[in-house]
Amino acid sequence: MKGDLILKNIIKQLREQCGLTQAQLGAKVKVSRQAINAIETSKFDPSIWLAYDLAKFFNMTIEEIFDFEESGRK
Amino acid sequence: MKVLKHSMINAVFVGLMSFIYSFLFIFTSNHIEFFRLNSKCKTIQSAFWNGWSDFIIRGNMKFIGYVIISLTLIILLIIFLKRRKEYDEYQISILTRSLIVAGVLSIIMIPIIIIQLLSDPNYTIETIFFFAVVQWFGVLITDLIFVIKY
Repeated sequence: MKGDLILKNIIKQLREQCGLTQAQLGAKVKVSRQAINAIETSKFDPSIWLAYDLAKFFNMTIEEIFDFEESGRK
Repeated sequence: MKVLKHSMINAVFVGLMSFIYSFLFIFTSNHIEFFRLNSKCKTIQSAFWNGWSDFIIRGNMKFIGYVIISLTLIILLIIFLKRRKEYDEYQISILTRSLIVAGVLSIIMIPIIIIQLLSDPNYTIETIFFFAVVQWFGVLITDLIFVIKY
């Protein structure tokens, strides 16, 4: 199952809670709107540094944003 | 693949390879010594390969060279107009995947060409040219979509 191999995450919910667009969140963590969209739709796993930047921006831990338990290991 | 984050690397790579391919295609068209390498008269007479062979012999490869130059100029223009200095990790992953596909195609094609040369050299020049055209057009069109989208 392709979807199971990608890290599940709550980026979209967090972004919407902050009232940000994908482009605005992308600008905050220095990536493109397409990158945020790909992470939200589970098409792309971010690097550890991007995951760190996202976690730092939302003032959470990486584990709170990305569900390692429910996602399949690559 | 971190080197791919610089958009200038993409521009230089596409520009350089397109220069080589277009020079090769334009230079070889209308060269009689090159036409002698085409061997369709001795072949199994495949309609497709004979058509492609005729296309080469008529000197039409130069038009493919011109199309390659045009596509490359469009790609370079878009890269320079967008003034994006670096791609992010998602964009690099897409660019990397498209280069891997082109690389895998080359890896597969080399033994096929060697087997063809060793077993029956008919249509070998045509096959190599066909592969070069398909592969480089594939790279250019993929890169064009990439630079337009990102």
